[in-house]
Amino acid sequence: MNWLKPDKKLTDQLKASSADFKFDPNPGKYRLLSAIAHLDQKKTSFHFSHILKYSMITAVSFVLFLTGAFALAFNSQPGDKLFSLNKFGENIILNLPLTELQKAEVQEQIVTKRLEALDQVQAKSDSLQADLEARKLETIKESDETLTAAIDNISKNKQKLEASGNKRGAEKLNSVLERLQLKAADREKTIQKFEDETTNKDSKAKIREHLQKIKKSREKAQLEINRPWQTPQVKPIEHLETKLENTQSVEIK
Amino acid sequence: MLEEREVQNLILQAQNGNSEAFGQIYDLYARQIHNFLLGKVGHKQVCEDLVHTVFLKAWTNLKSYQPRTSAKFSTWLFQIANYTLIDYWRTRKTTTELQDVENLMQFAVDPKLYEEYAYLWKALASLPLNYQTVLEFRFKQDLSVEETAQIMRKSEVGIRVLQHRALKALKNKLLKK
Repeated sequence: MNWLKPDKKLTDQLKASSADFKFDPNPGKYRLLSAIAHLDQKKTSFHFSHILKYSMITAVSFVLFLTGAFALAFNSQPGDKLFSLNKFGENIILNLPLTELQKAEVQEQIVTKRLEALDQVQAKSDSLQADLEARKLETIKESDETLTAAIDNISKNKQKLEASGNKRGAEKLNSVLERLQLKAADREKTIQKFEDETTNKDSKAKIREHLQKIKKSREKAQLEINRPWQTPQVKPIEHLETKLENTQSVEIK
Repeated sequence: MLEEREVQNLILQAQNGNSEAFGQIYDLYARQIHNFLLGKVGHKQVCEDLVHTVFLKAWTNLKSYQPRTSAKFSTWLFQIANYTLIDYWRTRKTTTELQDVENLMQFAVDPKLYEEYAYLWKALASLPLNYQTVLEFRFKQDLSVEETAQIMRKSEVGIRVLQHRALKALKNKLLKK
């Protein structure tokens, strides 16, 4: 490192040349003090101590968050979102330096929790099953009522059209009835399946009742489809509404 | 000259907004800063403006100053002065007008001494700014390598290398003349 040693003669010259310049501090000081009278000091900048402080806050928040998450996960059951965290926590506890007896007690607790969870799952399942059955029954009832109403209305309208001599319109309604009849026949199988699966006797009876109604509506539709074309002169068929009968009979007269 | 402990006391008062304490700080260091800057810019009025800027910056940022055992308050002030000077060189006109250069001998406390070493001043002024700065701090202001390193924000080894190159460059300039 000899090359780094400064040249003595030259450095001596530099030191010797360090002449002071004349300087009157007063005008500069007056100017400065006038300027700083209206100038605010900047707030303390961000130092390492601040970084340390904020890091500590972050770390403490993280620890609190973890503790909270573990506390929430403690009662979670298989299938819950936090269950993996619960299991992770259980593994941590099992890996702690505990005595064999303590470990066994912990394991017993874990198993008890799992078995209890099984009971809860069964209870939940029963409640869900009951809900599902009620829903099935409601759907079957709605299907039956809608189908019956639709077939009745369409049949009436078809007869009206026939009476007015609108054969094309009546044929169109016939094809609608045919489609409804086919769909109803198809769904009868599904409803039959529901009936077979249902264990509750009341529900079973209600499903059967609706199924019979659906079958009757379907047969009614089939009859309407197969009924031969009636010319407007012919007396209105028996099952037409009284009002319609009267109107038509007045027209025919 | 006050002891560093007394200086720190004045700084503490100034940090709390006491402008009179800051005035005392100005009295303590303004001459040193003025000497450093006048030798570099070569113009009395510009130098006074720069001294004013340095102390304004010091006042504004005083709360961010933290006393350290390894660095005196003067080191912090010289750091501001050095960066103010760099800013000045960066933003000033690329060509120097005749009225911008003054014969510094008229401002010297000892004109004879200044005349005697005029050759050295001229040779120094022709060096790159960082060479001038390192020689100024190390030999004219008599600051340690550690202090110079802090002012110029370089490592101590970096300062030693820079000083070696600056002296070599200065020697070559003088030998040419």
